[in-house]
Amino acid sequence: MGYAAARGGLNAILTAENLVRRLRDLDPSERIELDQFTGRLRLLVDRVMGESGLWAPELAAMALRQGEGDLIEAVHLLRAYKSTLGRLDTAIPVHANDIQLVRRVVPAFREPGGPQILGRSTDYTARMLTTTDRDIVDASDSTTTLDTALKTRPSNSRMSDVLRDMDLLVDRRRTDDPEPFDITRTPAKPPAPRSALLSSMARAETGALVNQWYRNILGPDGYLHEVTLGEVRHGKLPINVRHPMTGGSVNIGSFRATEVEAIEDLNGSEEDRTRFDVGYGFCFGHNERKAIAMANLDIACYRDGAKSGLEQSLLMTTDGLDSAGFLEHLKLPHYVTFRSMVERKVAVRRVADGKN
Amino acid sequence: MSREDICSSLANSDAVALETLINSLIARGTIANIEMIRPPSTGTIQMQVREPICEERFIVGDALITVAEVSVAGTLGWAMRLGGDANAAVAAAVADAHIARVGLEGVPELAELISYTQLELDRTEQREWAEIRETIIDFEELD
Repeated sequence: MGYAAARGGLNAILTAENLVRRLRDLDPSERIELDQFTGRLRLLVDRVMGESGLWAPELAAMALRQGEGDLIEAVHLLRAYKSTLGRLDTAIPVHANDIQLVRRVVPAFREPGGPQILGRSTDYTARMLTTTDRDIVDASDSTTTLDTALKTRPSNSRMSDVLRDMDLLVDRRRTDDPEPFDITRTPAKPPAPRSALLSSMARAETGALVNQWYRNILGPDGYLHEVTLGEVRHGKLPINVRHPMTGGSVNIGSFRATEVEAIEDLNGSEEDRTRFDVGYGFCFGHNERKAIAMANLDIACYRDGAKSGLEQSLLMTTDGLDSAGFLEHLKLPHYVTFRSMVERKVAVRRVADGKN
Repeated sequence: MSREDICSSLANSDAVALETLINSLIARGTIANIEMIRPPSTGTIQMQVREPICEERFIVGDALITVAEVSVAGTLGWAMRLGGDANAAVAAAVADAHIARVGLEGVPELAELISYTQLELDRTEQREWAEIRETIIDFEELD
């Protein structure tokens, strides 16, 4: 593939950019404040952070505002900004069990050990477009009498532990502790360690991941079947670092994440058919579609064992910035490329017509 | 209270309240001889998660942080806070150094801020759980 640079038209280019800025920033409506994005459009902000791979709510809000609500553009702006920053430290690895749940749904099991918590959800009610302002009832001071045991948060049990206790889960727990693959420093290509796959999917474009999942359920790929969700969770996890002078752990805040366990019914001839296996999904913010697709694809990829192109698809085609960037570059001048194609056609026709 | 617990509270404290208090302590001469060891620097911190199925670590992404190191009358102080607020990071580092030098009991205003921060974190957690626990559901299976 060859490209040739084009030049000229600088005034038109600058004027076009200025039009974007002027019509956006001088729109007669009120400027949207950052806390409106983080408070009222939290799911959008979460997607930008997840697909940028950077937990920075205010910056994600700024990027959305600058990008006029274009999610991919916001991800581009945030990743570009992130690339100008140094990585100053590594947080102490956090175990997923340290999540402080604000939502937990266990579709597989009625009594999964610990309560099911709907949290902030419209999953079980009809969603209709509200065309008028409704009165907001603040029920936050409700004093409903509750079981004493529920006055504090329940223990953090999970469905995979229940399956382990029932001896129904294949044990894939590692005894070593390999350094995780860093996809921001080295491009991940197959065959890649699972940590690269999990990182890639955690940062993938949500729609791309959902599409990969759907291709495998109803589409031509077919590497997924009989999947039941064990856990769908949303919650907060601590960010802890080492104090450089004492070496002790310091909590500097928290981040929110969505976590999913997908239970797979093993039925392969070389698999343990008396047990299940579990795929895992985990991403920044509240993004259940992404985490569900990720968990399903994690176990699909493991079972596939790099026999097909699934791993390559996940590692190399689900990044939103990569795919959108490649697609959008097609708008740039390709005059030389296309002229050479035209010349080849003309040359072929000359040969076909018996001319030189 | 350990130095790590103090640093945690300082990292989670309200930025404006912390800066105002440190500026006030400097203006009154309570805190003096401040030297910048590592100017505030905004960057990222890598975030690793250990997943529960294979007990394997992976990188979920980075978080935006600001870090600073100072010396107060010869005692080193350090702070790291989420976000890009350089002034708040310096204020927290100054507080860390000063408390390391004179002890928490030697600076009651900072002790009060730290105590208040912890109280607010607990209150937020209680408020959140009070709302969420009302959504605990017990599905019934239909025959």
